[in-house]
Amino acid sequence: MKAKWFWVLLVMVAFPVGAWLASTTLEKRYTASMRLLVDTNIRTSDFPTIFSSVDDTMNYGRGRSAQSQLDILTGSNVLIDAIQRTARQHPKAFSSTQNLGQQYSDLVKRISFDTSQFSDVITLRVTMSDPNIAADTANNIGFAYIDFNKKMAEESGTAAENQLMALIDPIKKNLTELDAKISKLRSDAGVADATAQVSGDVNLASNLEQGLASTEAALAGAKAELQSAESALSKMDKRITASQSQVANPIVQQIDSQLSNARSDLKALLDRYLDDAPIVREAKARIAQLEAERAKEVAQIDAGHTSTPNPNRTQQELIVAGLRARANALEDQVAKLREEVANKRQRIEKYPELDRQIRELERDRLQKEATFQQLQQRLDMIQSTGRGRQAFARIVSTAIPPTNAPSFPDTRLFIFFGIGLGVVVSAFILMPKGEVDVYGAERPKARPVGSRRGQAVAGRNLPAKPRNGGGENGDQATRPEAPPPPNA
Amino acid sequence: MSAAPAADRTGFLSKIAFPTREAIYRYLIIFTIPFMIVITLFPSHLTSRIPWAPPPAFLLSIGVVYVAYLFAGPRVLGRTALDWVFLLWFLLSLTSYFSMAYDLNRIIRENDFINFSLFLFPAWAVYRALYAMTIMHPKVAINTLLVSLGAILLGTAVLGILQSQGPLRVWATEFAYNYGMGSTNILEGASDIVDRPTAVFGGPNIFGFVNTIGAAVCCGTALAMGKRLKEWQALVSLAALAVFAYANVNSQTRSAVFLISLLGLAVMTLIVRTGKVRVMVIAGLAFVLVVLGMVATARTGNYGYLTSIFETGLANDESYRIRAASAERVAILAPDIAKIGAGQDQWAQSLNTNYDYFAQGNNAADNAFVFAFFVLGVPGVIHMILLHAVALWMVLRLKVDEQGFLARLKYCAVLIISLFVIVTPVAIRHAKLETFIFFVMILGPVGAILNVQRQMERRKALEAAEAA
Repeated sequence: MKAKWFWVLLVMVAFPVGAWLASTTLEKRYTASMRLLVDTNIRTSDFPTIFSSVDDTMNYGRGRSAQSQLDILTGSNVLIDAIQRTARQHPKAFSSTQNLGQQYSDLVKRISFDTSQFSDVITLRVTMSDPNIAADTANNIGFAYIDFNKKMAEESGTAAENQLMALIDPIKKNLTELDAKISKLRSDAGVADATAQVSGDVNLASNLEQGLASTEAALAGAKAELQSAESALSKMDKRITASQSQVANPIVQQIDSQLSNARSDLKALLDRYLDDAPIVREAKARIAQLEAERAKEVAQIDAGHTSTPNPNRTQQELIVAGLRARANALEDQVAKLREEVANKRQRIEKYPELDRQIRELERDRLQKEATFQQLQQRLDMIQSTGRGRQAFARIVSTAIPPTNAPSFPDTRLFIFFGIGLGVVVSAFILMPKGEVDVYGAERPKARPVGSRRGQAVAGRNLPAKPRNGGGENGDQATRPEAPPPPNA
Repeated sequence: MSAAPAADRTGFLSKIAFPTREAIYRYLIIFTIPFMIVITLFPSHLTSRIPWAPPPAFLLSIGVVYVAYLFAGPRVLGRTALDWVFLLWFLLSLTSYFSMAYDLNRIIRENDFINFSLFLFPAWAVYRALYAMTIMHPKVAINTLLVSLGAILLGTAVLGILQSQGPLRVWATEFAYNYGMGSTNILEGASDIVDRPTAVFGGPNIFGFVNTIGAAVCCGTALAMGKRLKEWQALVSLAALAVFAYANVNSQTRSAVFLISLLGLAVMTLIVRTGKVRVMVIAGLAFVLVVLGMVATARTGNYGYLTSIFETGLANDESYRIRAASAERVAILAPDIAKIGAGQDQWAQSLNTNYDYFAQGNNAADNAFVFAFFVLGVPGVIHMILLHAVALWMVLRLKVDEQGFLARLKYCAVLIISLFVIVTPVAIRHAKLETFIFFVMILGPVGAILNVQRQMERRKALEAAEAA
C-alpha cells in the first residue's frame, strides 16, 4: 500500500510539473482585442407610412442587433477585405498556399466576440501566432467593417433617392390636376372665392329680407289707412245745402192755442173743484196730452233751400286716392323684394355643394402638398448628406499587440489539467482491481451467522473464503481464526 | 463492558452495549444516503464560500469514501467498468480542450475546465461513495437508497406542484429558490408568464425527468415484488406515480409525461399479471380515478406549452425548430470537430451561440449524440454510447440471487438506465449533474454488487478446483 501512495505522490507532483513544462514549450498563440462601437438601432418603425419603404431602404444596412452586426463582421466581404489589408502590412501573415476562401475560413475560426445586451460595443478578438499580426488583423477587421458599412449606407442612400423621386413625380402631377379642377369649378360657378361669395350673398339676402319685412309693414299700414279713409269717405254726403228759409209750424201754433185754453179751463175748475176732482183730473190729462203732442212737433218748418258738392268729401276722395296709390306701389315693391329674396336664397342653397367640392379638392391638395414638401425635404437631406446616412461604426479601442502572457498555452490552466489528470490517475492507482476481496479485512461479528439482517452484509452470504485468498490485489488475507484488528 | 452477551445480563444499564461494527455501518449508511440526496437537491449555498463552490454532495462523497476506506480498507475502492468510462471521459475532454485551443484557435478559459470538473468529479465521487457504502452493507445501502430516492423525489414533486397552484405557492417558490439547486430559473419557472414549475431544479424539463426517475423507483420496487405484490403496495405505487405524473403535467415536459405514462402502464400490466382479482379491481379503479382527476385538474391550468404541439404540428413546433436549427449548425461544424470535438466550454449547453465560430453549435439540438459529437467529436459519440452500454451491461449482469433487495435494485436500475437511454435523442441528460447524479447513484450499488458476485464466483471456482 505504501508503494501505491508513493506512486500517487509521484503522479500528483509529476503531472502538474509536466503540464507546466509542456506549456512553456508549446507553440504560443496570442489574442489581440479590438472594441468596436456598432449601431444596433431597430431598423424602422412597423407603422405603415409613406416613408416606411424609404426608411426601410435607407436603413437597410443599419444594425438590427449585435448578432446581425456579428454576422456582417464575420461575413466574407469584411473578412476578405481585412485579410487583404493585413496581407499588405504583413505579406507572410497568411499562408501563400491557401486561396482567399481558405484564408477566410481560417480567419473566421480565429475570431471570438464579447457582446452585451447593455452595450453597443462589441469586443472582437483575433488569435494568431504573431501578436503584431493578431493586433493588425483585429484592427483591419474593424476598418473593413466600417468601410463596408459606409458602402452599404451609400448604396442604400442612392436607392432611397431613386425611391423618393419615384414618389415625388406622381404627387407633383396630382397637384397640377387638382389645381385645374378647382379652377374649373370656380369658373363654372362664377365665383372667385366661393366662401366670400356665400358670405356676401347671405348678407344681401338678409338685408333684402329686412327690407321686405319693413315694406310689408308699410304696405299693411297703408292698407289700414286706406281702409279708414274709405270708411270716412263713405260717411260723407256727396252734396251739401248752400241756403235755407223757415216758418213757424201751424200745428204747433194750434196746439199752443188749445193748450192755453185747456190751462184756462183748469184754472177755472180749480177754483171750483178740488184737485182730485174727476173733472180736474181730466183737464190735467188733456193738458199733458197736448204738451206731449207739442213736444213731438218742431217749432219751425222749412219753407225752401239750395245744395252744392261736399268740399270735405272731395278732399277725402283725394286722400283716399293718394293712399291707394301708395298701397299699390308698396305692393309692387313687396312683390319685387320677395322675388329677389327667393332668388338669393336659391343661389345660396347652391353654394354648400360647390363649397364642399372645392374644399375637398383643396384639402386633398393640401395633403398632397405636405407630403410633397416632406418628400422633397428628405430628398434634399439625402442629397446634401452625400447620398444617404453615414455608416455608424467606430473603433473605440484599438487592438494593440499583446505583450504579456499568450492566450495559449495558459500555464495556470495547464497546471489545472495536470492536477486533474493526477487526481484521476491517482484514483486508479489506489483502486484495487474489480476482483477485490469483498470479505475485507474481517467479517462483521455482530450477529450470528444465518440471522436475517446479517445475510445482507457483504460476504455474509458468500461461500467461505479460502485461506490463500486476497493479497494479490492489495488486501490482506483474512484468517477466520484471527482476532479482529484494533480499528474494529 | 462485560464479556457476556448483553441479552444474558440483568439490569437496564447493563443491557446497554456498545454498537457493533455492523450497527455502526448501518446507522451511518441510513443517515448518509438520504443526506447525500438531500444536499444534492438542496445545496443551500453550503459550499458557496469554498473556491469554485463545489457541490456539497461532492465533498460528502469524498468524506464517505475516505471514512469507508478507513473502516473497511481498499475493498471499498474496487474498480468497476464505469470507472474506466469516467477515466476515458476525462482523457477525451482533456484532449478536446487541448485541441480546442491548439487546432481550432478557440479561447479556452479556466472556468471551462473547472465547470467540467465540477460535473465529472462530483458524479464520479457520488458513484464511488455509493459503491463504498454498498460494499459496507449492501442490503441497508440499497434499501436506503431506493427508499430515500423515492421519498425525497416525491417531496420535490410535491414542491413543484405547490409552486404551480394553491395557497403555498409563494412559500414553495421561495423555499426552493433559497435552498434548491435551480437558482433564478426556479423563480422564472414559477412565474405566471412561464408557468412551468421547476421544483428545486434548473429547468422544467429536468424536473420532469427527475420525476420520471422517482416514478421509475416506485415502479421498479413494485415490479420487483412480482406476484408477491400486496394491495396496499400497489396502491402506494400508483399514488406515488400519480403525484409524479401530475408534477410532470404541471412542468409541461412532453417526453417525461410520455415516459411516466409508459411506467404507469407497466405497473398496471404487472398488477394484471399477479392474477389477484381484488388487487386488479382496486388498482384499476385507482388508475381510472387518477387519470380522471388529472384530466379534470389539468383543464383548469395553463398547459399551453404541453399541448401546443397538437396545434402547431411537429414541423412548426418551436422547440423542434430550435433543435433542428442547432443540429444543422453542428453539421456545418462537423468537418472541423469530428476528430475530437469543439471542446466543452462553459456555454456548451446554453443558447449563447454568438461569441465565436464554433459557438454556433452550442445547445447541440438538445440531443445527447449531437452534443457528444459537438464537444468530443466522433470519440465522444462512441464514449456516450459506451457509457450507456456499460451501464446497461452492468445492470443486466447483476444477479438477483433470490434476494428481494437485489431484485428491487435491478428493476429500478434497469428502468432508470433505460430512461436515460430513451431520452438521448431529445435531451442531454448524461452531461448535466442535476440528472446524471441519479444515473451514478443507482449504478454505484450495481457496481459494488457485481464485484461481490464476481468474487463469489471466483471463490466457488477456486473451491471447486481445490476439491477436485
